[in-house]
Amino acid sequence: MRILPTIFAFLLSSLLFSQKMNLTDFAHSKTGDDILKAVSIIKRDYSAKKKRVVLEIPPGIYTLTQPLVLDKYISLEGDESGGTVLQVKVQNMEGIILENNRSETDINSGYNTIRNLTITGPDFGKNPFEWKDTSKNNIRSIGIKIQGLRNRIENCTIDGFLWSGILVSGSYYNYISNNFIKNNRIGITLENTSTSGFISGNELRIDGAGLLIHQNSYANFISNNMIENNLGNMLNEPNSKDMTVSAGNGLII
Amino acid sequence: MLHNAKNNYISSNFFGVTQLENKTQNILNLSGKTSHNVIQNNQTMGATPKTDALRIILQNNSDLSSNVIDFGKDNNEILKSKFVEKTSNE
Repeated sequence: MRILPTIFAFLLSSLLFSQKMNLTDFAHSKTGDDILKAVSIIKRDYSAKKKRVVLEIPPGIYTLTQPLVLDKYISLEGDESGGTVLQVKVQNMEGIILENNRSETDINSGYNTIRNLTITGPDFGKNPFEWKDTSKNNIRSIGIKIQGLRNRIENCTIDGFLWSGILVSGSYYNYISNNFIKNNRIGITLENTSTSGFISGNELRIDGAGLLIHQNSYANFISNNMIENNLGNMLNEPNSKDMTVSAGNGLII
Repeated sequence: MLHNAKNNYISSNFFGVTQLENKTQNILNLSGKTSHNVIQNNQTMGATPKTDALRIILQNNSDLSSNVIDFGKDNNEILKSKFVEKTSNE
């Protein structure tokens, strides 16, 4: 009879907690399209049954041809060394999108987590201080776009996006921590009534502006970040006719 | 661009300020209808002794009086004197 509680606990945990899967469970090669395919299969076989999955992506360079759109049941985890690189080469495409989902059942089931990934945009490797053509509004050039509720972005490097490294839009209950966000037009943007964001332990460096909070975003907590040298030439000068924010600001609010 | 964030709390951050040619980083830029934000207990430091590490932009024509900006007694005195100097020159 003593074994019954153990069996019960095991069954309960299998229902409640995430299942880990590796990209190699889905593909023998290592390409961006393999990740897209794996996410599609997970949505069909697990998300549809409201089962949570953490997809582990081994070290390697993966070129994305479409944004990775994750629902509330899929988390991504790269290698701790930072050797898992998702690269976006085109000018107007997101790297990862966390879908907008307001279903109480889904959003109360737990947090999505994006962890240990390097996500590079079209300006990766370019001199951040060189002249940029700021007349082009590449509003989709975003490393991680957060729309849904309850997300954690941890220990990621995001480099070279033409609109924002991380963009939080109309989203609540997000923890963005311990990331290195550099060489983007704006490091982190909170917009469209985003609230209850906890942004801490990040390094925001050589972006056009480190952090932008606007469009009725409220009650966000920004602490223990390094906001340094945000003079990247990805924004227009203050007196420009373009109404975008100007370069050279740590925090715009 | 609607700068009307409110009730955000910004504390214990480090602002490192550098210069590039003639351009210096502003640590803060407040504008529009942004209100009731608290910005306190942050540290700021310039890359060189000559670098102005307390550059804060308060946009004209905005009532920003509900926001709290506190960089410590000494720095607050510097900020106040800068503000007074700027307004008296306008």
